[in-house]
Amino acid sequence: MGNFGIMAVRGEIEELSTQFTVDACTSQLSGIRRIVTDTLGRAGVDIDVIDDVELAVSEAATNVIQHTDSPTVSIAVGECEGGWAFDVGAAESLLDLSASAGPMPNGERISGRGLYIIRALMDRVDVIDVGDDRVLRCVKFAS
Amino acid sequence: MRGDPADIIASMSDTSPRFSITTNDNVVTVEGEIDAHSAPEVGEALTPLPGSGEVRLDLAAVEFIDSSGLRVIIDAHQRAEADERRFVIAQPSRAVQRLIEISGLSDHLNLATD
Repeated sequence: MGNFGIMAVRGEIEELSTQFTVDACTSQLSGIRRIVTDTLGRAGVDIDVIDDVELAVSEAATNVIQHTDSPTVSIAVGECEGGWAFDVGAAESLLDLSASAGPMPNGERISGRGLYIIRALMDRVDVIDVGDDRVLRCVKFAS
Repeated sequence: MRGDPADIIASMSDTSPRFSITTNDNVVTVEGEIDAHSAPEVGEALTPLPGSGEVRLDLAAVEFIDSSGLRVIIDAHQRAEADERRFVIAQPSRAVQRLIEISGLSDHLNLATD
């Protein structure tokens, strides 16, 4: 991914707290979560909000790693009006958010819950274009 | 946390996944984080289902779990049912309980808090 201009979208993200890019490997997931939770923790964010964002970030990053051919995963976390937003880059596979617009898969279904979980946890979930990049943007408002 | 992304990436060299599994008869105990990286090992520990009779998956010390872990749990649950065995999630941590609740599976899985 080139210039990772996630936060170039004006009018929403007020202050970027951290952004980073790592190899698209599942071994990186723990570190991704740790950076995001550390960032929010240092900002004094409520622990319940941190837990929700941690899970949503993990799901989104996993989606990129397992369902795209992107060699990297890019994450950005920033404060927005009333809460926090995070972006996950290489989100081509997440375009069809309508597939997760219905109810959570029932107990018999083993796979396909990641996006449903993100929607259940976050207040807003969108796929947006930032320059040449397509990212998944999630917003969690402060409780 | 601001800083050069290279510094942030470099700092991730010490952020290896925190995870362990132990199996004792029909009890599989998992500690740490269950995600796409560690979930396959949990699946291996539950394939085939250990011991006989009731299978217990002790998740008291699971600090984090996402849908990758949930997928393994559901798979084991279904296989246990097919074998007419009971699959119990023992002492689910707060993270485990939260994910099961969010996913609407509280009535589908057997949870034991004792």
